[in-house]
Amino acid sequence: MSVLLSIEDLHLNFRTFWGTAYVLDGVNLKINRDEVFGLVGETGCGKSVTSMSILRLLPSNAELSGKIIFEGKNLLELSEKEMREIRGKKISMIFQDPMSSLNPLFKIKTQMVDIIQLHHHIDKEEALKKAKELLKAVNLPDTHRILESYPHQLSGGMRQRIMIAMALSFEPSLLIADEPTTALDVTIQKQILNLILELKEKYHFSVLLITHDLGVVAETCDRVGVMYAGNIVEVADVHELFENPKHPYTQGLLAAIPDPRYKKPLKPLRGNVPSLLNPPKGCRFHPRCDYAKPICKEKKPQLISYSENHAVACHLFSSQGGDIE
Amino acid sequence: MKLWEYIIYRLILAFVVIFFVIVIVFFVSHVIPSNPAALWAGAHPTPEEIEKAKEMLHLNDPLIVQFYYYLSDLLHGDLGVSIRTHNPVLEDISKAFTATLELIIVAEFFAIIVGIALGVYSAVKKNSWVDNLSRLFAISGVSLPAFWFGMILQLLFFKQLGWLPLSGRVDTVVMLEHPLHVITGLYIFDSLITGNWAVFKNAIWHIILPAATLAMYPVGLITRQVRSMMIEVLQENYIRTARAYGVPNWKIYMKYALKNAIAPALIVVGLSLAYTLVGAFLVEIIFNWPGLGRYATYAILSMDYPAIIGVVIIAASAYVFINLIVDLIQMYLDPRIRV
Amino acid sequence: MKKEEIIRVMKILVRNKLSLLGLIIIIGLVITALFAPWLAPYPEQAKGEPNLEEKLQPPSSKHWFGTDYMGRDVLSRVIYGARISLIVAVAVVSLGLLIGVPLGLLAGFKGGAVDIIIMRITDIFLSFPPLLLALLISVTLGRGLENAIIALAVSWWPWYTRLIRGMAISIKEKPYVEVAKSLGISNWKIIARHILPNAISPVIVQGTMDMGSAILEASALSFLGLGVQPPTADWGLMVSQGKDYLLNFWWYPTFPGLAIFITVVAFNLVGDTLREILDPRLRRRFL
Repeated sequence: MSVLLSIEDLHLNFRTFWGTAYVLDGVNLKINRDEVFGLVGETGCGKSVTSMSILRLLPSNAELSGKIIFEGKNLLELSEKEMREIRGKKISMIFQDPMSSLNPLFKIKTQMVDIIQLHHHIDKEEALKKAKELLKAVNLPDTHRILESYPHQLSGGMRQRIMIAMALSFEPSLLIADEPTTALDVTIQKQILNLILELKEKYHFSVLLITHDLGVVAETCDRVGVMYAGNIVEVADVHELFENPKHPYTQGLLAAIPDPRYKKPLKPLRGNVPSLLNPPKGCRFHPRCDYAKPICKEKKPQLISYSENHAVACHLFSSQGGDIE
Repeated sequence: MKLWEYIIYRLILAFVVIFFVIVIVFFVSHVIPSNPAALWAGAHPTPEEIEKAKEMLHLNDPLIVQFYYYLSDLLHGDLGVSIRTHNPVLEDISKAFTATLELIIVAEFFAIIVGIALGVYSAVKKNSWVDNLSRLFAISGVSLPAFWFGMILQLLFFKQLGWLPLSGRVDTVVMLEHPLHVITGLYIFDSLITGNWAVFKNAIWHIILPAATLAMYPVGLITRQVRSMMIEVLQENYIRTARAYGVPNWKIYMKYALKNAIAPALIVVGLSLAYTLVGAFLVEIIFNWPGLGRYATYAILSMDYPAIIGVVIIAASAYVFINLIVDLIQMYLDPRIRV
Repeated sequence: MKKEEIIRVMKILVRNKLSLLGLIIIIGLVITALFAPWLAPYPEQAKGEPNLEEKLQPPSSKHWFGTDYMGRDVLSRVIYGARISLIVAVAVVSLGLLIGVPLGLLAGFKGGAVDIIIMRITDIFLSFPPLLLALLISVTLGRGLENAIIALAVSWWPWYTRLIRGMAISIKEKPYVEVAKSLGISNWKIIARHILPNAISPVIVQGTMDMGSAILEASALSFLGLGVQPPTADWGLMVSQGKDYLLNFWWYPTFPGLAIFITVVAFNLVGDTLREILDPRLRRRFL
């Protein structure tokens, strides 16, 4: 399998009113061609800013360092103009809230045609034809009515389908889906996820799926990365991760899912997510970890391979450590 | 509510408000301690002449009866006769109105263009030195006493540099040599369409300073409002979407963000128009501009109450309808309100 | 407003260069007004004593801002004018609050017909172009400082009524008010104990920000001859008197006008930063 995108030692700081927030603390991850990679973690762990870093859509007070290699190019070294050629064309993105992600004051037609015309140099008529094709591809057959509508006249599910249609305008090689179903009804969620998988088979792109919902991950992803406070703490194949979680945080996350099959008691993680203005030294998880050792307070654990398709960043599994049991 | 139902509702409300304005202005102005009959009768009146004037002006009747007379005249388009000029007030006002209108149009046009440009630019370059400078400029704009700023401009551009005329609307000599065929009463417009270049140039020359003075407040107001609206809009998710698809920045600012920012910014355009209505009072005195403001000021200083009432009613009606039109434009721009 | 919040707001005001400048000017203005008799080089001339030997002298080391048509020192008169401006600003805003706040509380708390009547009245007042109503009332009441203040306050209060009514309505539905009501506590007590203290701080902030506009509008009335009467030293009046001397004796109207401008700018600089902190839609920019 060939690597499509590789993030190497990505650091991201925000200068804020109260001081510097250390939001990403050396993120490493690889996404292969034709795979669905899930990035999970709690709100504020840095999974959304990771995706925004890939497209370089961060606010001006952000300081970014490291490497993001996409199709052989380091995205962090590209000019703003070169970056625009990547955005929408090579890497597309859909967002959590399809209501606020479409401009309320413009008809769907205007918004779609504008984006189609950006990279395809075609006239309005052809762009409109292309828009209709795209809408049909996302199972919105009533194309004329939808194109003439304003966003508020459509349902959440329809708006998310339109977002997906727009994302597919240029047959991208990577689709970033940032919590694409969180704002939708449960029944619609499933349809949207299936649509994304279907289109992936048809157009052959990779998907970076960002979610806090482990159920969604289990159903859709090939591989999963778990994020905690700006670090990737564990990466594994989806089955491996669910069957054999290694990192204490991953174990905690899985233990917190209600499982109707076993009537085991829910075990919520103790403590709170740390402040990124003043993160804990060493392993950022150590204040909440039941297995913390002295070294965890001192040294940051590196992400190292545990087995062929499983890597974990925890001193318990490094040379200095041992197994949890 | 359907759009036309809303418009009718707002129109009814507007008329109710204007009616109350008339009531208030009428009664307030009739408390003024003055002797309009003596003014009316002219210099050195005899007691008989004063008595006759009182009869003419219905001054012997109770206030409520006077109000009835006034209202019924008003419905026939009659605002009474000015005590100072002895002309029908409506005639005086309509003559002065076009002069003020011309001044306001030019000032507001200038203010909207400069205000939007500055506002968008400072929002995009938030917290840069350009932004700070435009903030200082905008705040100065809303803090300038118009009557004083006009004088400073006269000092600079007339006395020191000699570039622009001191006051007036157009030079009498130019008007005599190149008679203007008046169509709308707006000299710049009339001279333009009749091809009277001498008057056109002269009128533009004269309007620059008063219009610039009058525009300062609207410029400040619009700049600040557009800036804060733009900053808010630029944080919206749909702007992030546009960026994520590689839409170039200028297009995001000028097409997608500006439309979202303009609708709320329109409120201040209405507000600033209302300000220019009254700001013109002061500016017209300084620049001796033959408009409504100068007329009103003379009326106030000579206690010419038919003229005062007339001007206030016209100004308040204009204000009410400007606000109504602004609201309707806002509804048109935002399809979420327009159901 | 809680004490820590006031401290936090003050910190932001001081940290921002422009609002710090505004604060310094306002403090300077208050000091000038308080110590005018000691600061002014010719206090007697500031109070109106003519000095006909030195009519219309240009600025010099003796008269920094020159002299006026009666030979009086313009600097001294500008210093004394700070007093009038501050009196006007404080008086107009507090009088406006005195009328506007009770009406707004009543409208918001009572609701129903009382609310409708009060709000329609404010609508009518607000539908006058600003300054026009004040002009009209000023004309009716006659010239003079007190009348100008009353005229401005009468055109001022509806803004506060609107603001506090909105606050009162939202506070009225808070659980602690519901509890107080269910305990049979009288309406007046609820308004005094719960609604007023919670609603007042944004109104007071608004009032402080409005002082600049009050000074500006009062100066316009003075300029039209409807405010303070001579020989009192007042900035607007001085500009008005100096108007006819503009082209040959530029200093006469220039310095008093500059004083108005700088004062109003100072209030607006502080107000602009306050608005950004306190406007909930803009507040997130600071978080």
